Amino acid sequence: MALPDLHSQAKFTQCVPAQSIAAGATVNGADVNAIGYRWMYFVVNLGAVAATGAGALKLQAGSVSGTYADVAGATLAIATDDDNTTKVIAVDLEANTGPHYRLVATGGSGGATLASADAICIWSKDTTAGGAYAVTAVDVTW
Amino acid sequence: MSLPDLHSSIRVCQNIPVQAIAATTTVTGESHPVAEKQYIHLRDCYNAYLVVSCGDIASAIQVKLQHCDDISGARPTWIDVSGATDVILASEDNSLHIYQINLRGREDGPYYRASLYVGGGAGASTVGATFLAAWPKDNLLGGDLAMTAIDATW
Repeated sequence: MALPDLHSQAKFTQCVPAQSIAAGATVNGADVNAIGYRWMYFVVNLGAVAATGAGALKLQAGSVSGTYADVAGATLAIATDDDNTTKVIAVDLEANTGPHYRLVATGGSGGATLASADAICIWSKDTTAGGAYAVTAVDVTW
Repeated sequence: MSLPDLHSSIRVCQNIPVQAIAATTTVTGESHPVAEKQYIHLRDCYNAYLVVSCGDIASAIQVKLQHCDDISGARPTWIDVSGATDVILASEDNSLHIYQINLRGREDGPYYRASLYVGGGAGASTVGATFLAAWPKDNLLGGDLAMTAIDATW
């Protein structure tokens, strides 16, 4: 079975640009419209994190872009020893209503947290049926 | 056709943790303390993607891909992959850049890392880099190279 290239089946969205999140501050990620997709993954790149006080990641969903509510149980702590690690979070888009989502990141209370977060939406239902949801523009191929 | 979950066919590897890179400074995947996570062996995969996430960019960032054939020594030799370079402009604050690395038939590697150079003159730039390596060959044959650990499923 020939599998397609990832980028022809996936939509990449920058949710939280790389930044230093101040102690205790909250950053609301950009909207991800996941309509038509089956799974969404958040890839969170952490640099130096707050030395004290755990930070947190949580998922919010809404029926329209710009209006969101917390998804029950969808939280993950950023521990004080999570420096220079990656968090990978899977979101089952058939178990959530969405279709708009955003990731909310809160820095630990004891200092700044360096972080970025991207979303990867995959397996567009329409693409498997020959549709045209292939949407990731690759900057260049090496 | 039943399509697999992404995490059963891909590995996610942090290459450069998010950090503020000072002007006229180069950060490579191996220079950070978590060295064992900073490069990735990709020969078993079909495609890889270097995903560079930028925040505030003070000066243009030169992105390069480097390869190495043996990382067992104390000072492995990393070589620029010919032609594998790009420039992210200072005006591209808060942007995401995706570089596809076609691994079919390559003779370089099998270890790769990113190199980010921030130009001079205007302060630090905040950026991080992650590798996504897709479709491990063995996975298609029923192997178990699927190796992305999911921290949470929501």
